[in-house]
Amino acid sequence: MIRQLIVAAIVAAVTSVLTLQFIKPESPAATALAGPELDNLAAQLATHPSLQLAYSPLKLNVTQKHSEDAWLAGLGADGKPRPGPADDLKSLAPAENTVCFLTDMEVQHISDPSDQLACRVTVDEFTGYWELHATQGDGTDASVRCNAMCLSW
Amino acid sequence: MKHLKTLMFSFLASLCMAGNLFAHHNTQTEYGAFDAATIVVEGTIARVMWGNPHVGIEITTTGGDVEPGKKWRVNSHPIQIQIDHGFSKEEFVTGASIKIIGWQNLRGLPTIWPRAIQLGDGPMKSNMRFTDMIDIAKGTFSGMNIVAAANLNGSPTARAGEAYIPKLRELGLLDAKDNMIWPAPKK
Repeated sequence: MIRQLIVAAIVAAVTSVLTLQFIKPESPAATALAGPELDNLAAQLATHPSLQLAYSPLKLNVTQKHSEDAWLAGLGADGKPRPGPADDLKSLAPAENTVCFLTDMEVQHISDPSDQLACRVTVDEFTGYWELHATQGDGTDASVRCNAMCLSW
Repeated sequence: MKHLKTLMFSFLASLCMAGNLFAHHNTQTEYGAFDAATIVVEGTIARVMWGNPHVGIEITTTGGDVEPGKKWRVNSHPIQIQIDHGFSKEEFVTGASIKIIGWQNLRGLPTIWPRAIQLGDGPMKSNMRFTDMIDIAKGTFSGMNIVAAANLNGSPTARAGEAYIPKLRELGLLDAKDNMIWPAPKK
């Protein structure tokens, strides 16, 4: 019991000092929070597991870009047109602990307002994975390339 | 807090601007070489995306080398190449059983590129003519109970890999242009 009290007091003291480092001394709020109330809050934070979990910092990791762009070429390797509609997709990462975003988009050979191309990052409802889509509209022979990265926690 | 937001925005913006726009599309960089080890995935078809540039199938797994009850995606050929291999859109029915021998995504994602596909009680049909060539050259094809790809006959052999062409030639399975002859000529 005494050991717990000592540990709580030390943690409270350290937390108080650190907190006051980030609050201007002349701030009324700081004045109001300083002292026993702040020490009490800090002690609770230091000893209560659910509070520790709630206030623990989020650890973010960033993924590499997908090894392959999602892409659609309006012309094939044989030089023949490869018109849409088409939708190339790449699975990226489980949506439960990631957020993904576009990093690259390049379009080529757009010659007409009807040439529709798009890059999208969406969550597939079935798999629950983020997906990168490169989309070519109906009849267009313009080309598109897309890529994406994800942040996970 | 304001500084933190600025830092985070700068970080995300720099990520958006970074990188090389061009890479070369190659299924093998996602799923491995044509002669790499395969896995078996059994499941039930949940959705079929019969489209270009890749036919896609979403399945709920029931067995094979993977845990049952998982959601997997099958990525395959463009429509015309899928048809050329001997498949039709009508064969892929939602709710039907499917068994796939194939290559799992190299990053461990629940996606697979089929080496061969069995639908319901039908035959296990090849989905990769170049791997047929490799397995024929290795002498393992006949024991796999896979029906050869419908477009195997007359296919150019270069993509099977230079290592396998001499053996196919030795077996009398190449024509003058090194295109595949299949079924094997009777001796």
